Amino acid sequence: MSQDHEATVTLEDRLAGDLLDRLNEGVVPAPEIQGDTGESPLRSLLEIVGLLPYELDPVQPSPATKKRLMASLSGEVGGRVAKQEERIAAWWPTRGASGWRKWALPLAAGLFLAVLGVSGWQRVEMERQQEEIAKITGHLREVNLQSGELERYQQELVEAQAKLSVLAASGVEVCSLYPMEERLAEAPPTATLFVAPDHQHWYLRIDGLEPSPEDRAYQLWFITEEGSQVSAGTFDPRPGSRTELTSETMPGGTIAVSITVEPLGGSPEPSSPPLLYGDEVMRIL
Amino acid sequence: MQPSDNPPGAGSGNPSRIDDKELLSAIVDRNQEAVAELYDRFSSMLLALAYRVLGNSQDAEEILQEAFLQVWNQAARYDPKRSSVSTWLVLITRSRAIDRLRSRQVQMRTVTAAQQEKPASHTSPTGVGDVLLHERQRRLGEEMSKLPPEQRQVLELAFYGGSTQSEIAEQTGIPLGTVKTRTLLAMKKLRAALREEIGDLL
Repeated sequence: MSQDHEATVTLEDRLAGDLLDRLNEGVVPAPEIQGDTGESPLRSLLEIVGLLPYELDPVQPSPATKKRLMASLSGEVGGRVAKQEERIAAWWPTRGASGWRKWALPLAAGLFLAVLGVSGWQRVEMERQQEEIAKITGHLREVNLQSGELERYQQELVEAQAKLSVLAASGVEVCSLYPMEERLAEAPPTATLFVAPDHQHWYLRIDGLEPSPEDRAYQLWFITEEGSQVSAGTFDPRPGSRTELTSETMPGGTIAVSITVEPLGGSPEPSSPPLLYGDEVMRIL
Repeated sequence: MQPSDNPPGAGSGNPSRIDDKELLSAIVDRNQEAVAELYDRFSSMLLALAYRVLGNSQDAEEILQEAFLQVWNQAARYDPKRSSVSTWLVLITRSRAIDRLRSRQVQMRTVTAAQQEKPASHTSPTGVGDVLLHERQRRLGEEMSKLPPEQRQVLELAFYGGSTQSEIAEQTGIPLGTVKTRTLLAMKKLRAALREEIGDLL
């Protein structure tokens, strides 16, 4: 008999088979489930995963990496604003001092209005997400579903629950994105990013964004304290509808977010100035 | 300093040793020296992991730095009931490396680069931690080499490539059921073979 067929399936087996899949989906399962032996099989399986890289030849990092790490720990509070300014100037050279002055007032006004309105808006959004979850759950119960439909509804349910969990989190941070083009359309696009306290789960809502030009796509970027711009993927809004994006991962040390227009499939780094940009974070307690 | 929670031989070897969990508690209290110590214990293993995923030294060192910044910011979230410190660090580093891999869509380049580029490795003093690290490396290498190539392949595609079992089936043309069986068998064999190492971590 082939080695591929020597297994008998137990609870531990199912966990073993699915663990890497779940980790690849960004989920670290809790090890509460007890196996036949009374131990947590999941815990020991997780430790196997944790041992796997020990098979590799260790690679000593450059001393500069540790120096940079320690320097960033020391300077994480002081100089953060100055570094932010330097970074923005570095990656978007078209925005000069006069541009800043020109936009300072509208930006400040926007932030003020956002502070006033965001709590109420958050409640409305939460209610909307709860309704959406109830609706999808109802569909799941009522409809005699084909397998494809079932997967689609389950996916929608997972997404709605993810959005709700971010919106409902205590201490969620909110960052408004503003259009950066000097000539504003009559109804410029706006966006709001909600970041859960774990700084990993996020939900972005975008309104008023036109479908991307032909052969182009919108690309979302997270800008970190070190100045790297990490792509969160590309998207293309449907005409006249709100765009909602959500994920369970965000780069560590993210301090700003931007949206650019890039070639289809996305770029390794932004090739155009930001269409929308936000770096002011408000915390909702 | 010894390199993990309860590494092989721990207990009587070094009475002044600070446990990894104690280091994390110190990090919660914003102790930068604790970060430096944790970095010294694990960085060479974690950099090897990031390099294996990304196939690029510069990217791998960036990931290493980001991972330790995350540890600095989120040490309070570590739950010793869920995993050892070592495994927690591996999961953080691997997750960041896989995210970088996906976002840059460099899978094809990585395969080539990993075969062609040798990672830059910098010398460091050899100590107790290095001896234990090498012992663990020897044990893992030994057990991994005992796996049939087809089981090792699915494990590597899943762990270092971030591919789900369905994606592996698609990439390799192997039926999904076979991929699942191979993953399962590989994990079971490693669990049976590495009982002692797992026990050290629990």
